[in-house]
Amino acid sequence: MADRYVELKSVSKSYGGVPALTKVDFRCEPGRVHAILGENGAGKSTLMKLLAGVIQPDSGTISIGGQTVRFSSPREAAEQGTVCMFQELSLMPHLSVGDNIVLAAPRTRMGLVERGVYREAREALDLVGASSIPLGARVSGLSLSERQLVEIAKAVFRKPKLLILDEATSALTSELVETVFGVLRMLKAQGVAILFISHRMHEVDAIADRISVFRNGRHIETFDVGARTTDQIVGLMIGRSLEELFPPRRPPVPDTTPAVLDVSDVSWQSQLVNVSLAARAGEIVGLGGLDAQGQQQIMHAVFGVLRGVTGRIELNGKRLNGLQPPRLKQSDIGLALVPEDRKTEGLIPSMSVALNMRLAALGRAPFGLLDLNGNSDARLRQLIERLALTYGSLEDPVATLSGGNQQKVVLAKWLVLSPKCLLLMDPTRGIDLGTKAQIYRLLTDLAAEGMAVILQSTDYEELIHLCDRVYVFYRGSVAKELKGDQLSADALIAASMNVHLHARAQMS
Amino acid sequence: MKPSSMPLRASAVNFVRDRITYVIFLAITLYFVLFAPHFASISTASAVLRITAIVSAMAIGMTFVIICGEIDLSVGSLASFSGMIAALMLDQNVPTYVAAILVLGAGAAIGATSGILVTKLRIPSFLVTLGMLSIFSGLALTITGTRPVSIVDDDFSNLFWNGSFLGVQAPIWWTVVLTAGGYYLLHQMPYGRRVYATGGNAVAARFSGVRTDGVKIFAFVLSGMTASLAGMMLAARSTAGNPSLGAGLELDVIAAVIIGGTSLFGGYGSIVGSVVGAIFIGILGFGLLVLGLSTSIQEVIKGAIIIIAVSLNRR
Repeated sequence: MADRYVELKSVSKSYGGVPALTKVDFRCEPGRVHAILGENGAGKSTLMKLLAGVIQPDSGTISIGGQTVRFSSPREAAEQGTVCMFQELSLMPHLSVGDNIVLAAPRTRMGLVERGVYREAREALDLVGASSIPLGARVSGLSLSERQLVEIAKAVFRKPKLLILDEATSALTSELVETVFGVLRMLKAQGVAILFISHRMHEVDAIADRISVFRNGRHIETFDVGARTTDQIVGLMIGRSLEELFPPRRPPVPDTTPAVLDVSDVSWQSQLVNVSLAARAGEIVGLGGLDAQGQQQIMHAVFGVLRGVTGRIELNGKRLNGLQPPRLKQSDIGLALVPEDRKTEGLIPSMSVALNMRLAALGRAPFGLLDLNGNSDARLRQLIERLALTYGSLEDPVATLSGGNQQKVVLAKWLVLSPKCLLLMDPTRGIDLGTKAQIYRLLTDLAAEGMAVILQSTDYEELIHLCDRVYVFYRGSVAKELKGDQLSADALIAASMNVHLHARAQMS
Repeated sequence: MKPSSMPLRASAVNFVRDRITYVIFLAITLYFVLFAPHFASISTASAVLRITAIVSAMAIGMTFVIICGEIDLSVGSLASFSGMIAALMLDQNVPTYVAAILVLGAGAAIGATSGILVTKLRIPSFLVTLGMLSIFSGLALTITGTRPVSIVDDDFSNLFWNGSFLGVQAPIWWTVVLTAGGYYLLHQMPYGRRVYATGGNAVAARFSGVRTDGVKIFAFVLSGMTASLAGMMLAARSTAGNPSLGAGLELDVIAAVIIGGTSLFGGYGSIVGSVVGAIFIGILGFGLLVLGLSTSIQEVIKGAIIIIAVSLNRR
């Protein structure tokens, strides 16, 4: 058992002359969870793609159990037992959950998919804690975290020998992460080698046995979990300390300050029930809770993309009900939203960096000539500097930027309008620590300049260290408002599961 | 190998790859110049430009629709219908310019109807405009019981086809004016940006405060108006409103737009590309005719060349 390991010797890979990995030596062993840490661009994804057979090394060798291998396709790697879960979900939205899982290994008898295969798919789903998802459900009808569970079930179903998880837990709430970790521990006990990539340090601490740090395409160091403090690890990754990740706390905004955004008794279908919340100028207000408890919908309701919202939504005394984004972004209202999913909701991938940044600020008049060198472009240049955007050329397609820089483009698009109230939906998901720190600093600065910032997040650290107040959502309404000293991980988790009201029901 | 020569060669290869349809276009034109009798002449050039003016006009409107990620199959039958109502109005002594404006208005209204059905009722544009194709080819035939209506109004003929200004014939002027107008609208004005944004990612565009439904509806209006204009050019050319004049033109129009580098999935494209695509199809047809090939075999060759050009032009 112990001899079946994956080993890379002096592996290099470059894309069009830009090195992505340089002379990397690396090995991982069966029955171990091996975490790979590094900022975006450190070479983690390239390493994973090499192991999964998506790309081939320029030089160096990859061996499995002492045998040198050279995969020419992901299929060959899969036949050797390498199963990969990439950051981007790879499910077919129009197929059922069962078909998606079975698709990975469609065993057939006389040309027909075997019945028993679906039973195994069911077992795989139950195993990952997704027993509530029916096999026949369409993937397109599932929430993001449910899809991620299906993705994990699909991996388990394939009975991997080497399992690679690339940010596979990024869309999951902490409760589901624990379930998934249970599955990983079980696979580990069966002798599966697991490579785990995550930006969440506490997840790495919770599950990994060994840690390898990558930086700029090089393997920096490998050590056992516990051998380094978190601060030291972060230092290895980016050369800065954790205290620097979050800016220092700001003095609280006095309760007497009038609210900029005032939401009262808002309901929508069955997903929002009498939600009331407020954000004052200079405040960063967090929205937390388990996945899909209404915190996303309230953002959409405020931004006018839901139909049939009841209740009252006001911004600086102006009633917003029934208004849509083209009206809400005008300077007399000044509302902006950074949506949840950069790729599908935030950016136009076919357009250049510059055009994406100019999109929200396009003139109101539909046929006026474009004001190419006007005020808004001067402001954009300032914003590019303020956000420390890293780019080749502003005319490059936006899709060529890294995830963190793409998010900066979405932010710049809205900040150029100088909104009075900024709504952000999980803005740091899947973003490297360095960019996270920059975004936290930016949000703090914007609040200090008098903007009302509303931050919906799945990251508890963010809610605790960045927000003045946090509204915790449960089943479509605000279960609890936490502020000041009340803000702690335990309090957030308790409020998320609404243990005060439904203690018995939740625990049983 | 000299290290410095590589990037230069690579960028030269990229330059050619990005413009592969233009390269094919030039190669085929060169072939006709060398082998087709009397091909290289001013009169050939102006004949080709006149022939392609109709497809060019429709292709300019269609470009907006296709960049939005939609399609308009109704342009050919809408052109026939427009020619018919123009001829009927002139027959009733409606003043030339009033008739022309009314026909354009009808084209705009029909385009808006398609656009509203596509966006508000969420019916795929392929189906909506397929229905429109059938409706208007049927209406064009029904109005007069399939009889053509002759046009005796000289102003109308001069305005849309036979006239010339500064020594350049009317259809060529129309191509130039529409290309310039379309270019400004698509590449220089906020509306054009919204068209690209809508076709590139409609959800993100909506989240950026773009009224994607309005953008699409207006694209269909543009397509409807250019189809009506093309219909009047067709009618002026044959000095009659003929109910089947525009039949099948939509295929040439869509081919012109796609050859011009516009993505059928939306998000990419250009006006000049579409016009070049239209002229390409025109030269191909004319050249094959001059070479003495029968119209039936022309269609086969034309189809094959279009497929080759588009397959080399894939993004």
